[in-house]
Order: sequence, then structure tokens, then C-alpha cells
Amino acid sequence: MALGTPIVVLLLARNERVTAVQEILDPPFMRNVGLLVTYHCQAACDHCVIRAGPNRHEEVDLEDARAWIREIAAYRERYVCVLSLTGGEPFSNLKLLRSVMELAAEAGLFVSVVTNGFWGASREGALNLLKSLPQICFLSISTDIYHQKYVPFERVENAIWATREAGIPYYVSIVTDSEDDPEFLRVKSEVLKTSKADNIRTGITFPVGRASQIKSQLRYSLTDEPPKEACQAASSPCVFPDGRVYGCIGPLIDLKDDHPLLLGSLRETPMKEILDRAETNAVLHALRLWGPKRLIMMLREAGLGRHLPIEFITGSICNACFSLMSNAAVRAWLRELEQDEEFRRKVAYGRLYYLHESGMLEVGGYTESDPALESVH
Amino acid sequence: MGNPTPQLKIPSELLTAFQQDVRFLPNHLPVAGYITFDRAMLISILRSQDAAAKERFITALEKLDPQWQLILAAPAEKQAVAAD
Repeated sequence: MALGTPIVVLLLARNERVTAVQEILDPPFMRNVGLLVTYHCQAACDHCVIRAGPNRHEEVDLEDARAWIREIAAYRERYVCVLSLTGGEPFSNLKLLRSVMELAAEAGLFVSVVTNGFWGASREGALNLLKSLPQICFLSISTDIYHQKYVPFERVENAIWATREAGIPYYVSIVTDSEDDPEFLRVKSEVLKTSKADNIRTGITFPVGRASQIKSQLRYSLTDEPPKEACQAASSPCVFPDGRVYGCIGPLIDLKDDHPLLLGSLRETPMKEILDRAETNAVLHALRLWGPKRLIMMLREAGLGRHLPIEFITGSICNACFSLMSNAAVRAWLRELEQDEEFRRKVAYGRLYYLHESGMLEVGGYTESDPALESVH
Repeated sequence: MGNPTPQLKIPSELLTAFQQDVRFLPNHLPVAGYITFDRAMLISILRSQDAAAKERFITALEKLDPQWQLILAAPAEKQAVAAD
């Protein structure tokens, strides 16, 4: 098994005494839900999947946010613990950010925020700002060659300093088209002067969103084999200002057509129903269990290999998933697969086996009717 | 890894398939807009100086799945809690 960051899971019984301890490497499903607060950003990064920038002004309506946050918090009696605010740049409209965070806190949700750190003009100012936003439990600060065209690293350094000073845990996210790129290594080296390696996360740029316009400049490596790893991004659905809810905040938002990870619109469907769809979405959970490679293998076996790309970006799960969802014939096949009872059953039990998740089994009724049950104990 | 929640059972043919399967996890966790509820996030909550926030978390945990509950914790905290 490939290595990830181990996460220790304590299994608590009704009386809250610890009865078992296990290590898993997957984030739990839907314990946090994303909310894209605004498309506005001081930066217009070349790699931005959602094409955020200074000329974008769409943002979540506060009354929508109020209703959605209330519904998220009420879902399955507080199943969701964390609201992850993202953008665009959430700090670009402080009044809105503050209001949304207060709503989340009132609803009993913890808050994490993604930012580019532009607000770090000075150490003291950055610290005062964070102290004025006590609802923030976690920050993810983005800096890389794309962001640094717009946000000087000095500001990021100040933001990191203030984040540490305020006692807020954080990641620094660095994306690159190549981990061998000297500029990426330079940025990483700069960040390492302020933060431990554990605080740094690296991602691979790929040509979706605004990055599709710089495709010829990207220097990622290609391979004829799709990545073999499971998807961890699909553990957190994300709500957009127009009410659309996606299974992740990945490149799929760039697709105009319907696809399995577009869970629905809050303009048409209640939050509970959409989140229930996420819980029972077999394609989404197959991605979480086995990644896009398993679906690609099934597509090849089904004789649909001609609809698949001949090359994949090395190590980019999102790119492989995007290549599936952006093809009409593949989407049609996935829609049929979603209805396949045997596939659904395998995914439901796979979630139980690998992820210790029983929600899909309970909703699917398998625990009542399956005649071939065998305990592993 | 691979042991399911104790009360639920897995069909034997699927259990065999899962036991023989190899599953891979990414070396890199999601970045940028991808924030998942993970160890660091729980630590941030537990270390919070906001007593009211801690109480909200406790209340949220109390209202989770009445059968078995999953709680993320740091390895160092595992021993402390498990010893109670």
C-alpha cells in the first residue's frame, strides 16, 4: 500500500469508552462540507480551476448561506462537523466572511478557510486580523509560482507567522506542474524556512479551468497508465454560490454537462436530499475506494477503451477523473453503472471493509436482505 | 486495515475479494481548495482556546451515529484517551 499520512481513529461505543483503536489513511466521509464564498480574488492565477480573479464578483448570498449552513448543521443530527470556506479568496470580502463564519459557529460547525495570504501586509496587521476572526480553526495558505505573481511571498510569510502566533494549525499548499521544477523547489525552500515539512502539501497542475489556456507551457510528465491511488478529495462535498453541490471542489466544476459528481442544485432540491445522494452515490464512493483507475479498467473491459485518453498526467487523480467525466459516452456508461445493483453492493460493502462506513449499506438495505453474510470476526 | 464495524457482516465472496485486493492511497493529500477533515483539523479544534467551541464539538460528537462513532485524533492523544 502506498504511504499516506496515518490518521488514528478511535472507535467509541455508546458509553463513550474507547473500545478499539485502528489506523486508517482515509478522511472520513462528509465530516466537512465546503462552501465557496466568492469567486473574487486579488490574483488571477494561470492555474486556477475555477477561474477566480479581480473581475469576478459572484459570491454567496448571505441569506442563502444562512439557510444552507443551518441545513448542513442539521443534517443527520450534526453529522457534519466542519464548514470549509474557499474561493476565490474568502478574505477579499471580510464582512461576508465574518458573517458566514458567525453563522457556522452559531450552528455548531467549526470553520476552516483557504486563503492566498494577501492580507499579510504586516505581521501585526495579519495577527490582529486573525484575532478578530476567532471562529477560524484551520487555515490553508496557498503560495506557488502562480500565486506569487500577484501575492508577494513576504505577505505569505507574514500570514504564516501570524497564523502560528495565533495558534491556528495550517497547511501551506504549493502546486506545480513538475516537482523537479527549480521554481517549485525555490518556493518550497522558502516555505520550509517558515514551516515544517508536515505543514506543506503539494499538488500537480493540470490543464483545466484557466490552466487550459497554458496547456502548452505545462511540463508535467505523462504516462500511459492512470494513477492507481484512491481519491480523497471526494470525501468532502462543496456548495457553490449558485446552489450547485459537487462531490468535491475539483476540476469537474469546469464541466458544463451533467456528470455523476454533480450532486444537484439547492435551487431545486433540499440539502438533505443532496447530501443523501452523496452518501449513496456509487461512482463517487468507487472513486474514494479505488480511484479512477478501477473505473478505467471497467470501461476497457466494457469495450469503451476508445473513449479513454491514451496518456495520463503522472500522479494526478483529478486529471484522470476529469478525463472520464468530460466524455459523453463515458458519462452515459457511468450513469448505467450507478444503477447496477451488483456494483452498488460491492461499493457499499467496500466502504464497510476499507473505510468502516456503513451508511450506504443501511440506506441500501443490504444488511437486512443479503443471504450470504459472513462476519470477519 | 480492513476490519469492518463489528456489528455488520460482509458477504463471503466480497470479503475474499477485498482481502485479495490491493488498494493504494495518494502520497500527496489534496491541496488548495481541497480541505478534508483530518488529524490536523481535529487538533486545531481540541487546542482551541474557545471553551464554547469545545463544548459545541462535544455536543456534536454526542449526537453522532448512535451505534459507533469515528473520531480522529493524533497518535499522541490515542494513548492518553485509550488509557482512561
